[in-house]
Amino acid sequence: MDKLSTKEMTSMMILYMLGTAIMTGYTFYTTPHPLYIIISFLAALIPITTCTIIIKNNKKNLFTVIDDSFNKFFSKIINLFFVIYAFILEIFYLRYFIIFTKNNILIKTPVIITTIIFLLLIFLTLKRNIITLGKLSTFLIPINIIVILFGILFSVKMFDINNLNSLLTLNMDNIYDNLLLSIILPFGDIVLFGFIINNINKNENIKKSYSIAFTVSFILIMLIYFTNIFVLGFPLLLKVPYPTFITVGLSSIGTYVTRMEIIVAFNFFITTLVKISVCSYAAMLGLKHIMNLSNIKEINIIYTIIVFFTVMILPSTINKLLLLLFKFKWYFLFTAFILPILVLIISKIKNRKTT
Amino acid sequence: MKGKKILSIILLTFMIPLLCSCYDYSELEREILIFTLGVDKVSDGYVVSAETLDASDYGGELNVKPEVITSKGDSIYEALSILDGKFNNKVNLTHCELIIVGEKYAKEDGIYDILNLVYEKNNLRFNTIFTTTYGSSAEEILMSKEGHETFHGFEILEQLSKNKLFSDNSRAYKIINSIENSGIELTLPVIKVAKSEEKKNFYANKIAVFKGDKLAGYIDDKDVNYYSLLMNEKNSIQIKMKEEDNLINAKVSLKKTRTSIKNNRLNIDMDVNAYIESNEKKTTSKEKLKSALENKLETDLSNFIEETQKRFKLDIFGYGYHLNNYKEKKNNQNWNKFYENLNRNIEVHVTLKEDMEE
Amino acid sequence: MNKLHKSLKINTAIIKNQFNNDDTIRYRHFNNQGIDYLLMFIDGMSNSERINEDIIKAILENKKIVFKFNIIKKLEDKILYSNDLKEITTFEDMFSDLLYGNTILLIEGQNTALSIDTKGFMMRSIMEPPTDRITKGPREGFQENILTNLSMLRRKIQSPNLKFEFSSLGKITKTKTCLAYVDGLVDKKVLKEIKRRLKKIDIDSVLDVNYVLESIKDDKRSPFKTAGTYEKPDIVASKILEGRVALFVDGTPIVMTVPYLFIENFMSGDDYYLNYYFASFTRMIRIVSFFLAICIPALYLAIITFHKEILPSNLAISIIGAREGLPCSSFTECILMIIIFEILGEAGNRSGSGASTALGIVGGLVVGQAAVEARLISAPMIIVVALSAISELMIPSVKGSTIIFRFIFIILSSMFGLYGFIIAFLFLIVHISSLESFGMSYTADVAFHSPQQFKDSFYRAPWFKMNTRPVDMSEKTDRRE
Repeated sequence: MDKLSTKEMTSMMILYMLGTAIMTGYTFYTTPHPLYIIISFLAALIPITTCTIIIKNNKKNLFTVIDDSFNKFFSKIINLFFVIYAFILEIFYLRYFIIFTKNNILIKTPVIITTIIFLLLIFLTLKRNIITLGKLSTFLIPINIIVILFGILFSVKMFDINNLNSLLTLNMDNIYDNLLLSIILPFGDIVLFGFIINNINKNENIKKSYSIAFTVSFILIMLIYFTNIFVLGFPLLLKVPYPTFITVGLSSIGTYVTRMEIIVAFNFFITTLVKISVCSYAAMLGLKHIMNLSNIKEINIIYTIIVFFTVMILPSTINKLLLLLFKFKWYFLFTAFILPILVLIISKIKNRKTT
Repeated sequence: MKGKKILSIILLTFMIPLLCSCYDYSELEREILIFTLGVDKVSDGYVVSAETLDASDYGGELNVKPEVITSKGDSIYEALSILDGKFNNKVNLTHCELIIVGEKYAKEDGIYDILNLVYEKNNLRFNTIFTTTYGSSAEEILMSKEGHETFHGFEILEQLSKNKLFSDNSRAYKIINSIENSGIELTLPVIKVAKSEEKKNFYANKIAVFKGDKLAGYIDDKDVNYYSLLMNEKNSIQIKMKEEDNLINAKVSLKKTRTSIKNNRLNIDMDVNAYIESNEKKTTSKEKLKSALENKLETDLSNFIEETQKRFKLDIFGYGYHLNNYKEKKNNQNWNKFYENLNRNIEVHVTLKEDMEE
Repeated sequence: MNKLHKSLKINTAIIKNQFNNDDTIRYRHFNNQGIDYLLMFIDGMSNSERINEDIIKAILENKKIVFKFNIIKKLEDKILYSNDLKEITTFEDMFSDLLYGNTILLIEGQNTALSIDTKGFMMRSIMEPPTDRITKGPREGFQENILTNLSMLRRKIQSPNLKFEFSSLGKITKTKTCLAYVDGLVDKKVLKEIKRRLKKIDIDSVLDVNYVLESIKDDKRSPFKTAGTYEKPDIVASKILEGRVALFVDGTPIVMTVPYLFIENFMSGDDYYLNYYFASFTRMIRIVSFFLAICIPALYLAIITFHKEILPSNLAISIIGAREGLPCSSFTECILMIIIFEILGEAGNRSGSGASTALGIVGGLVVGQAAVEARLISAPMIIVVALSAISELMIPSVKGSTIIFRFIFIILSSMFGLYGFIIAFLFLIVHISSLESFGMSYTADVAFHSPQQFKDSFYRAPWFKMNTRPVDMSEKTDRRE
């Protein structure tokens, strides 16, 4: 009962990876070329495999492995790197979600109130470890998949295949920047699952879990991506910040059921909840290890309050938010990709030394 | 314990804004739902007219009937905000399905300003239908007579849907693409009104051609048939011809088109199904009918495309957009110039059918 | 824990002192072969015929056996006609047996008394329980006497592994309780846990199983119940055979079973006695009606006040026409209507069966028709609330939680529209996922572990497909037919 099973881990991973891609359909940090999506998926395999190799034999938390491999001072610094990484991701995704809510759903309600309520929900979800989130994901994943397929099905009649024309003549400037961004950002944060994998039952298979998750989310995202292109077409897709929202809003069943875009908002809500909960949990675990506390409950409330105040300070338009985020790109690359490899090498060396 | 108390007090103080919430709560009957919007330019400003619902309670008996409200301002946005102000900020544009743009406004200012309304929150939908007028203003179309019971906007929409000229290309999300892509130009349906003693009749069988987002001209009535044939492959059109003193009515539908541009020539190769509906004298043979139809279609289509080249100088069919490998396509002005000087080569192959498949 | 004295006088004095103002206790002195006997019983709880025939007559007419030594032994083995006899040495045991309908026989010169089973109190006959009516299947229901209930269960499971463990609860009422389980199928951890929790109960009275239920709940503030309550022996038997533990309480026909899963709220006895297509269909309808009852008023309210763009234009026009000129806002209407429907429902429950149909008609007529015509309430709101109230009747086992969550949903929806609705929905799901029932997660059968586990949750698979016991609940997971 205190451990997750493969299915729960898989469904959490799928919802985590769908994240904001459910709303945009592509990497909205870069130009929407399908090559970048494929690169993102393949690049995300690196951090998750390193984490599973580190944890495979002893099923300990990644933080404890870091504590064992390095001496005290370095281990605390490395843990702090991961904590700050999780913290920045959490405030970014939360702010993105709040801007979406403010612009499309509740226009006059002040942003403070929607943030407080959402943070309360996350607090309740994480009250008793990550188990509740796993069960929640298994309950919600079929709803999510059905809603995505439903939205795509009823947009088929508006498909216009000629829209693919412009895709092939897209502007391919800034290749380096775009490559870097597509490696680190959309799916690179799967490294945070390395801190949760130890919660899985002893008999379960982690590889199976993330291979299924990767394939399913890849298929879904490509479906959403192509649906958006076929329905909306090219200058429009680049101008709007939430393409799926508009695509499903255009579709209809007969003449009576129109404007079904609210189900996309529901989907987005669920995936954002899972994403932010996982980031929050990873950061709180890290802080617990650094400060040598016995229980997460002592730091739960304070951390949430810090997150709340930081989120309120962030910019309120998406462009400015992205500009702020991109200042951290080298930090993200280092923390998500290079640090796990470093930890893996050093822990293997230490293991060989002891045996 | 003290820490918990302090934290709970802090949390409670943050909860106070929750108690005075419901900022977005508004009752359905206290809002003005707009179903059709009309935009005009007059000599001293802009006029916005909107068709909405008047559901007042006449002494216990409910009466739901349409009502037209207008406002005037120095720009479109100002006129809309004056409309909000007249009714206490409760105007709701999200149910608006049709926008009628006045002729003068479309010619002089272009429809870009109105198109920008769809991006704003809680405003026009992305599948709103845009139309223009011919010979009247939008306000005249929407203005109601004493005692009329039906919504003008719904009547117009019904006329549009019956008409084969109407397609999804006049919805906002497609208009944005047509305006901004090079190699294709925008065309919108036109609404005409004929007033009579009892009621108004709306007609939607004309097409307006836009250059960028400004109105450039109208397609002749005789060519509207061929426009619908070329733009929407699912349509079938009626053709009347005279062949050896024989009046023939044929129903023609397009099966397949192959277009290409080679050596400064526009080549169009069409396969067409034809069904002879009435044949006064049954003397002409099938081969003669077939060749007569082919000739007529070829000449008419060639004349129609020539008109778009010479009179409008605009590529409304999107040959530049759909066909690749042209440097001129990237720059709109050059494409239209290039299109102006293309030669045409149109071939039609007709297959006569016993029964017409719709 | 006072032990009995050898002197009959002293014993009698102590007993009469204890039952000072109690006139239902009868004392019968008699003498045989020079020995004084005292017979005590409670009038109305003992069977007089058995006392006369099996005890008094047997002793008084005894001429063969001489009572010089080993009086108690000789009485037990050779004289008294009784199938249930035991020796007692303390006043506490004597009082508890006497108060349950046994007859106590005190003998001069002995510090041991005999407690003879002569129970003869009146009981309700076995009938179909009114809350759990089914169309096909057994119609027996449990009763107030614990021994009759246990006998009904024993008839269903005639296996020597079926165990009953007695205990008593309640400082003043000293109610008898019994734990029933099948040895070898039950999860030992659950058994240990429930015994531990029962020992912790420290209340004066236990008059119904609900007293026990609320004391041993996992999450005391949750509106969902984490232990099932049933009134029919066939259902309890099937639960025990899946590895659960049943708790019987004397004085109530309701039996508690643990552990309890969320999906069991939607099961009924009917499901197993009818065709599996129909059973699966009705089960899915019950699950859908649970969500309908909670969500529909909130959803309607959110859409017509916050998100008017979702409505199609014609529907918007008709709702505007229905709502024009009304005095209250939609939120007030909704709350008023729900309260009125709840009042009508409760009134129908409390009145006799003849008046409940009249109340339904009157309620429907008065509230619905007249209120709409008087332009007090809009017609769509009545339809929405009536649909929600009727859906609630389908699942009486979650009635309390339905009412609470319905109000939470309505309040959050009227404050934040569909955002609030989604928050409330996720809060409901988070709450259900975080509940536990005696070590098992509340949503065990709902998760998609494997098709075999899924076979008895949202639908009922036919009997030839139900090959294994539900995983995680019992120790054995092999085949069962």
